Amino acid sequence: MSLQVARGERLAVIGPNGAGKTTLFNLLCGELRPSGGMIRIQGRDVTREDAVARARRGLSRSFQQNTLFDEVRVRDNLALAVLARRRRSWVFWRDPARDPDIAREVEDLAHRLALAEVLDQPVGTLAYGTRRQLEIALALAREPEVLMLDEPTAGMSPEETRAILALVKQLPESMTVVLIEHDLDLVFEFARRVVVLDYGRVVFDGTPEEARRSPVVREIYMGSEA
Amino acid sequence: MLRLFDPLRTLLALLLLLAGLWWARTGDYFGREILAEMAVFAIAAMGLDLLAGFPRLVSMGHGLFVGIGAYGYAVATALWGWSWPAAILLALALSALAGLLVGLATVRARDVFYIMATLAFGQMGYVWVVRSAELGGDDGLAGVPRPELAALGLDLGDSATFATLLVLLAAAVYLLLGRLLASGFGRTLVAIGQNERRVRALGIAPGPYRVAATTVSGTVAGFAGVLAAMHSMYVSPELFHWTWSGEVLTMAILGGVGSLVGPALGAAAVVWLKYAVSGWTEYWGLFLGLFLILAVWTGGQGLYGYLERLRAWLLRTLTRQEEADARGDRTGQTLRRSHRHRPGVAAGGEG
Amino acid sequence: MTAAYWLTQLLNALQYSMLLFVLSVGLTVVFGLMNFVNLAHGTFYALGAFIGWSLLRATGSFWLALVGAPLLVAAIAAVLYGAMIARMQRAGHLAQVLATLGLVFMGVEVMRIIWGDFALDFAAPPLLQGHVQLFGLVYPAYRLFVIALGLLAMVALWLLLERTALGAMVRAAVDHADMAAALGVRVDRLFFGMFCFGCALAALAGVVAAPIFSVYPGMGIEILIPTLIVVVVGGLGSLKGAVAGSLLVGFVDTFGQVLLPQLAGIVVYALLALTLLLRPQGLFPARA
Repeated sequence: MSLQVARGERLAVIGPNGAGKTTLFNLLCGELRPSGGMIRIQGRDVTREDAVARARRGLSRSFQQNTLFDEVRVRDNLALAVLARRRRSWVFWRDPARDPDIAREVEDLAHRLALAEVLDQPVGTLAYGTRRQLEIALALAREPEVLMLDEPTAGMSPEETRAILALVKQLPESMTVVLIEHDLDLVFEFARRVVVLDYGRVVFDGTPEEARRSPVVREIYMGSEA
Repeated sequence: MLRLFDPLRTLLALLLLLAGLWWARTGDYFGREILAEMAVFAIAAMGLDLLAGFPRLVSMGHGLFVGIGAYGYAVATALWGWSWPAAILLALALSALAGLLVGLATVRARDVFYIMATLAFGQMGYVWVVRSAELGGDDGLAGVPRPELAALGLDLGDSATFATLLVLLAAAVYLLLGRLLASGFGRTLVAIGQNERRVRALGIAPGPYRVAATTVSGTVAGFAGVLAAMHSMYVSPELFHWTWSGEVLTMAILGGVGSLVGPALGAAAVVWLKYAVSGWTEYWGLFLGLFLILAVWTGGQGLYGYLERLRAWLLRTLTRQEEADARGDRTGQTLRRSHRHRPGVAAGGEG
Repeated sequence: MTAAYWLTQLLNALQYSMLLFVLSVGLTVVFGLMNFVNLAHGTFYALGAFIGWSLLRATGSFWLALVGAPLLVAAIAAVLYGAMIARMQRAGHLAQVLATLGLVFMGVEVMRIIWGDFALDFAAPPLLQGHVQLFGLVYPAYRLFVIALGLLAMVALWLLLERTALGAMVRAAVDHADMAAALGVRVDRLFFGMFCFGCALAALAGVVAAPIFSVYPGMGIEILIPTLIVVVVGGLGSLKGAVAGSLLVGFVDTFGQVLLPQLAGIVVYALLALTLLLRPQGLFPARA
């Protein structure tokens, strides 16, 4: 398959279960090594780089299954992400998370994702939806150039889903956002481009309007949904 | 990390320190010897906790660092006639180097592989020392001096002074490690222990942190080795043996890893039990093994975990008492409210 | 350094490799199958040697000891499985390592209580006590027997795992325990059987090693380290890994001591470090 994503794109990747959406994410983020082909970010070949290097290039992701630091507070989760971006985690003798600028950034992030109330609670004690929000907050904390969200609203209530949608819509235009999602309403409202995967191939690539009308999409995606 | 900022931890550490200092003043000679041993083990166990409790790297080879620290000091003083500060520096440098090398060699090892690899590397020193004639082989080295501190008016040959010094040094190591763990570096170590995948996704390579933590942990264990050599004024290959590593790990687990103070408490408890049991049986390993199995079976939270549970239970009981008192003041109100709620509960039950 | 000298070293390496193979294969199969880490594997090796010693003293027959000790150790393993191992299976590797480390500490003391602190002599059977003329070199017959036994075990295990229905079940359970269970394989019984079998193999290695190294309580602790190195180098959970790992460790250790005597015993750790850095999953891991 071949896929190009322009800067500032709002791309939704959809497809039935097992179509290879998460595998695509893992390949793009460097968690899986491709057996062939090439992956480029801003024209640069990153095929051989690992997840760490790609994160540093501005690729940030959320996981389909919550991948959080469960035994510490929400504040510590966010602080680590902020420290990582600012390259301040390699400090041995002080706690840079106490610096006012970093503390402020953590608070801001928490406000944006409705986490301010639970900042001092251990993540493991939070409700599922709240943890899902933290999952996205951690991806955002790196202020990425490319934000990749793997089913961010999976298992969330309708209100929580609306909140996430509102947040994603507010993201700066320069940020590229790639989204895997099952909620088609959300996809059509958010995306400017829709890619449909099936059995690891791109079977459709176009605007949401075209996707709505496309018989291929109807057959493969809606068909399997029904 | 939550445990790190818990007042319970500070309280327990203070209590242990005070008990140690009091015991050093009032205990008999034998008691002071035990106390000094407790302090040595506490330092080694806290050093191990830096790896096992935070980035969850369960090293079973800390005997290597302890042995290198002890032999480094012993060889430099007893064989080469170095002054004690130079000997300590050499011992610490050597154990730091060993920590760095083991950290580098195991940086890609996960889970069981890490445990098995550290276990194997731990035994490397033993194999080498036992066969080395210059290092005394099986017999070890005798005539290791304690530091000369007459200039400060201290006589470390005196068991009370020596035990007091060791207790204070254990407290210093505790503060030092606590400070290190509360830093940006410490935060990252904790994060690595909880979710390495997310750490990578955030753009942090865990490798250098793991290596640095192993180096620090090895140095602390080496320091424990130096103190062990001063304490018994003799070193033997047993310090290198992996059963020594296993014993330190048992202490840390039994006390409760991830709290720093837990392993110190575990060290004190295990050393005390060892001497209590030695009065009527020579088969100490039977008990050590049993404690380890029991510690694992009861959830692996250790003694410190029990203290946390005890506190939670106390808090619950106290708040319930308060609520009961509050209800007692407004009995009529409560009754009315519960009456009003009854239909709702019934409806919910049917639905 | 004559050709005969090198041939002797070669046979020594081969004999050590075979001993390591019989030991490590039990450890690695139990891990591959049950995802269970058993640090007490060396303890079963020592137990086999001690029970073999007692059997030899009681009956005077080495061959009875060679067969009887593994059977008795398997029975002990069965009891231990019911009392402890079965409920540790889902407890995670750390808990397993610690609990079986507890068994190691206890096992040494139990053996000290029963058989005492001192090394016990263990005579090779009269049939194998002499030396054999081989390509112009004289080599102890017993060590040749060890090599033959190891090769036999290797072939037998390969046939068992690759050519029988039981082996197919074991391989299926290693790859996909849930799927195998769904297809009607009694996975728990398979685990139980393989655990006891693995421990019996360790005991067999203990009896076989006894005439070479004599019998003492710490022998299990001592052999555990090279066995773990075999498993890490070869890769956990695969027969191929156990074969490759034991040959590598056996040869590197033996020839390391011959060629670099000043680094005696250390060379094998360099092999371990190198493997960990280049192939952290070992040479032939069961699951890629």
